[in-house]
Amino acid sequence: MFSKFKQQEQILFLDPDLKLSIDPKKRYFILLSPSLYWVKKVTLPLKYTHEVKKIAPTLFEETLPEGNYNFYVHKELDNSYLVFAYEDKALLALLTQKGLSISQVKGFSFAQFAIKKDEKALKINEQNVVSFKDDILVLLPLDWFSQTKDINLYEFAKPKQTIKLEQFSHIVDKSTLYKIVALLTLFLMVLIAQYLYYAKHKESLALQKEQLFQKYKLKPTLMQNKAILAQYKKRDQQAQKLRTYINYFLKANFKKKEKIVSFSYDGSLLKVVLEGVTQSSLKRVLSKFYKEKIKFTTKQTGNKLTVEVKI
Amino acid sequence: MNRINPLHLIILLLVSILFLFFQLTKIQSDLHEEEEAYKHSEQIAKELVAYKKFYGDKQRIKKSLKMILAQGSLKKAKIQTKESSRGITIMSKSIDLYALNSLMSKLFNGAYPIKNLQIKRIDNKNASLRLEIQW
Repeated sequence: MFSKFKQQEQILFLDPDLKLSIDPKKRYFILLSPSLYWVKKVTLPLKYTHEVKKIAPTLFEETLPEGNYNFYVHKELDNSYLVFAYEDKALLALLTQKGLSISQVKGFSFAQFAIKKDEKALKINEQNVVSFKDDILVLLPLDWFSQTKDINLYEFAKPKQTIKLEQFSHIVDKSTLYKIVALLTLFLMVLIAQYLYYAKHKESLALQKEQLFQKYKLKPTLMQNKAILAQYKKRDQQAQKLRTYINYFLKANFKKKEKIVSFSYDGSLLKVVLEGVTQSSLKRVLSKFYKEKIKFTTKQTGNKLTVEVKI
Repeated sequence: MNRINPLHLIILLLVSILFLFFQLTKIQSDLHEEEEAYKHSEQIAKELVAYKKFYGDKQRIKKSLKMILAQGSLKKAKIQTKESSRGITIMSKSIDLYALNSLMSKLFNGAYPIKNLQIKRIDNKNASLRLEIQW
């Protein structure tokens, strides 16, 4: 049931002088007219097509005009090859000129592979026909032939031999692209190495942290340790305050009949009972407390004055 | 054999680089946080050890108190000590004010965690003392 949705591609014969009616919703398989490529039949003592492809540029050395060409090699018989040369840029430009988007094209092949060798000359327009000459499909003038047949694309089967156009090969050549690939790979390796280094460092840091807890015999969580530290800090502050305030009292400016009767401290409040000190003389006696703006409360009971300071 | 299109390879590499770049930024930030956390933990640990040495070391407190109380000037005061699981209490019914001054200076300078303190003047020369140190 899904085949219903599958778009069938239509075969299209692409020639610069042939008018095409393009449906933007359809997909096409392009047969390249002989006017769009160069072809040579060669016999070489080579076994594989990729070996022939390597030397293909030299085979066309004096034939091809200036340009950036790609090559396709088809093996016919042992040591006999058909070598095709085509220019991606020119083909892409023609597609655009004909109103065809590359996304609509499912594939490309050479007309050579689609037309039967015993076929009559096929008329492609009012001036030209395509016909086989020495096993190679060529473009010839219509006038040369008395009997021709109109080209009917529905008769053609999609050839097995296909090519892919390289869209950017005319901007950057392949060797440059491979250099870019090498550079990016190198950069990627550097990034991976850096990532691994950081990951290892992170791991060792976690281990160091664990060792730190063991070395200093800390509680399992930082929260617990912080709480203990806060307790110690509070205790230290209280001890310092207690020492300072008692010192202030001991060094207070007492006159005759003025003296300290008692000190008491319960962990948060320091109570000092003074004898002979009145509210009026308090500023002299506790001048340090006033100067340092230390808050305290007082309570007078007869001759005795109780000073209370929060610690 | 079809060779891989270098353009596809470049796109794949760029995507990988971008992905790795984000991962690298993330791990760098994680590492920075971990380093800060480690430094913070180390600082807390060192501070804790220092405080524990002063306020939490039961043996040190006991030993140094014993040395202070063994001084000749305090012998007359007949100082009594009472040890419990929570701390130690120092008591004297009558201590000379000079001896008291010397004892308190030593206690205050020695950073002892004083929990409770009671000093009452008895007369012009003597006072009573009750001091509780908590560990």
